Amino acid sequence: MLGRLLRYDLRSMYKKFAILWPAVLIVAFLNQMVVWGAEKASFFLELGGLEFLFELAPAVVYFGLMVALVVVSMFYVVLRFYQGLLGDEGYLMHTLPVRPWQLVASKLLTATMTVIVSGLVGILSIAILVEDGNIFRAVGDLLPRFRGFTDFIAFLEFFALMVFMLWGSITKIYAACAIGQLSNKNRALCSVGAYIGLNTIQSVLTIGGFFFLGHLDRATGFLQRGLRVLERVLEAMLRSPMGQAIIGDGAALVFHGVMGCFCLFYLVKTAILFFITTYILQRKLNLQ
Amino acid sequence: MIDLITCRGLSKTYGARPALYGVELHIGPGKIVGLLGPNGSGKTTLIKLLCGLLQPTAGMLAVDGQPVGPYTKSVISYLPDRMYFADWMNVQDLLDLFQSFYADFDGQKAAAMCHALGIAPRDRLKAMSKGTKEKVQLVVVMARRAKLYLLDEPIAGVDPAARDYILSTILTNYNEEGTVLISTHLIGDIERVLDEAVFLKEGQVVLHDSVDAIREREGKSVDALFREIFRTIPLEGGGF
Repeated sequence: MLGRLLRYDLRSMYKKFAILWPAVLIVAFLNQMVVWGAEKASFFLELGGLEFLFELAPAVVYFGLMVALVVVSMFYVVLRFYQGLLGDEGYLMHTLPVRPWQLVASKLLTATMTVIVSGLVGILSIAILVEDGNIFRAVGDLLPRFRGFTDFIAFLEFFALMVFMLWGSITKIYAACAIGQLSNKNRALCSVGAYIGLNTIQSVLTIGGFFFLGHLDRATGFLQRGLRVLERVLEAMLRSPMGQAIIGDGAALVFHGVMGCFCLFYLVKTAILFFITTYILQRKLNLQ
Repeated sequence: MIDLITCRGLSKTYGARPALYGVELHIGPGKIVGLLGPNGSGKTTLIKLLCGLLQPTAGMLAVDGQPVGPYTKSVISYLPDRMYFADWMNVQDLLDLFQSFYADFDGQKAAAMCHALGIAPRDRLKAMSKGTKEKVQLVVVMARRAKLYLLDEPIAGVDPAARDYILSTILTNYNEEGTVLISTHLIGDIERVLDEAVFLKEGQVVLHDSVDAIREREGKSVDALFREIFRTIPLEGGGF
């Protein structure tokens, strides 16, 4: 059922962005052509000072499209959830024979793809705009420098961390919307209030957590002892060829550790917010 | 035989305001039932509870012997009192959606019904008139062979010709082994098609019986009885 929901939500995304994404790339390309033409063609110089219009117009259009890309992507993420599950469209979605977690997961995965593709389109358009192929050559040169398994794992960890951070942000918006719909009036305002509240709770828990760990470590020294055990385990692993292939050198080890901790933190945060959202939609849905 | 709809002590409040209070209701299969009551009597709330769009404050609710969940949603065909389409959809998108989620949806029948209304598969729902949208929504709901049809005010706010179309579409397309629950306060238009009537007043069931039994017992039509029960005496006098 999740696959079917995804197909529905992806079709919605396609219809929303089918014009915007190609338009950004095409206008970036036109800008590049105009700049190239201005440098090469002499007729621009014979327009009596009006040649800047030929350069300015596509630049303004490109800027407008980039702003639209950012704004539409952000609004799309919020509105697809709010209107799709808590607005009139919710009457359709919540009467489908699916579980609430599947509805939320479908919206989350579609929102993730929207943000990633919009980001890639933005980066690609800038690459087209400011470069005459150097960025693409640089990326091409970079790929062979990946030193096998360790660098590939590092790249995957970085990408995963970006996705988990994105999920953490999106599920926080979803949970705020779900909490806001519990109110019988001023739901949008209550959602904003819930978002601020969730942010505050997250900050308090994070700071409080570090504070607590620091105190606990001073009292028991468990962190120091744990780190020593971890060090011995990793040293043993480094002595084997397989362990070296996985862990790499010391700097990579620190990198993997930090990335792993951050990934875990954002995954836990996503799981909690996802649970809150799903619980409310399942037990407290209030489509008046 | 298992009741298709079972409500025991069902209550729903919005804040401090009760919408349904202690509703006891048992409805069997193969019937056309009118859920009758004035505005604000709790008709829409009861239907939304059956669909899982609202959660009960107290009491128990079952459809085909099951608590509300994916199974009950798979056997209910629901016509809400509003448009539920996404603005990007065309008719084909909607038919595809119903086809992929409901095993009892007859896509060919729905396409034929749309064709009869002069609606093309590529027509955008956003560009349609309110009346045409309502008809499309009715088409997808009635193109299912559901166990339970929940139709919330299907004939409210439409002209007499559209009312005839809606009623004939319901009567010629519903699954006769299933039950149709129609909420309305326009009883005169639907009384002839009803097997049973449920009267809701201020969130409570005040009458549930077969239409024939009501006519025989009361010696009047359901419409006349409805007007008698729900009559509001206007304020008279004053210095006008």
